[in-house]
Amino acid sequence: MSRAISPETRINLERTSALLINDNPQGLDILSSIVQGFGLKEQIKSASPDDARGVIKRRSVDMVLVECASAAESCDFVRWMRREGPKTSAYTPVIILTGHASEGFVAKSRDCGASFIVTKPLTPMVLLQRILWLTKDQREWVECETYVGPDRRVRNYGPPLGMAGRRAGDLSAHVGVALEPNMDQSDIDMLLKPQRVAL
Amino acid sequence: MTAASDNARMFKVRPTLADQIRLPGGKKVGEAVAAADAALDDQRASAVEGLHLGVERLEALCRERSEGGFASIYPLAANLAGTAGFFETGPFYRAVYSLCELTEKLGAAGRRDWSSVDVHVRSLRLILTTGFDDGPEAKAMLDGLSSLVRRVEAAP
Repeated sequence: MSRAISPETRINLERTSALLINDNPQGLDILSSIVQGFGLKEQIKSASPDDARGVIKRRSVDMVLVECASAAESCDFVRWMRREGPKTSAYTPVIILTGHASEGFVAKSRDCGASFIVTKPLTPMVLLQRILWLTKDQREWVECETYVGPDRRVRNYGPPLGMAGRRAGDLSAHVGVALEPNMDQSDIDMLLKPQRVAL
Repeated sequence: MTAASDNARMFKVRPTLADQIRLPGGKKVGEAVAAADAALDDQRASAVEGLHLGVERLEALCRERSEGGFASIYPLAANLAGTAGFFETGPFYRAVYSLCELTEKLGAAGRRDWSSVDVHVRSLRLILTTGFDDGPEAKAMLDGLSSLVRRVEAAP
């Protein structure tokens, strides 16, 4: 996830619209400057989640960055966007930023359906890496009674050994007991050996 | 297995962002980061001014020690951490983070401990006065703040 990106990689955010939400006006200005540096031409700034709800009801955006002093407000906004907001914005990537990442906050942010939580201190490079990671996000979308958002498992290694998975598509990592005797080395060699084929 | 997980729907979603970023034009990552760093540098002076104002407000709350004032400390400290976290403020960020931890824990326990808050605010003022100096004195001060938070956490 934190793999370095080559400075030579070309990116184009000129047609990307971002909704920036921060209840601290100074923080909002700083975030806006950074995002403008990345090349985003269209940003909508909201001073509160309530204001942002109004924006989301009127139009769709390509990305949302949210930071509120109260963790609950950031999480409530994301939960609303995922469940009650217009369908056009339900799947929009959302990054929650925070200056104070207490354990409770991280758990709440993960469970509200945010795509990513970025904790400070942070540099523009880190923020850009996270945005670029979202463009390659391979996680499936999950919708159930208790959760709506990207799969919270960033890496899916299947259910723990010896346990049945909770999802229909889960496969156990346990390979079980061999049903046939091991192959001879000569059999393996034959499989790998290039053979002339008559066409 | 819960009923909720039985009814879970899973499917692939491709964000518009994924296609936009590959469009011709744009800029190199190095250029984008350099432009953002430069924009951040331009904001630094006003951000530091904002940190001074924030600490002044915390000092005023500590002087008043009003009933409602205590609840204002966490959001104020969180905003300061939010601003400081964009810049190299070393001990300031760590001290204000400690104040967030302290007030969050006190709030969860339904307690008020103005003395511990006061120590944090004085430390913030000292860090601002010394220009965010990250020397051994700052480390000793931060160790002291951490032990204060641990003490609050351990209190019945």
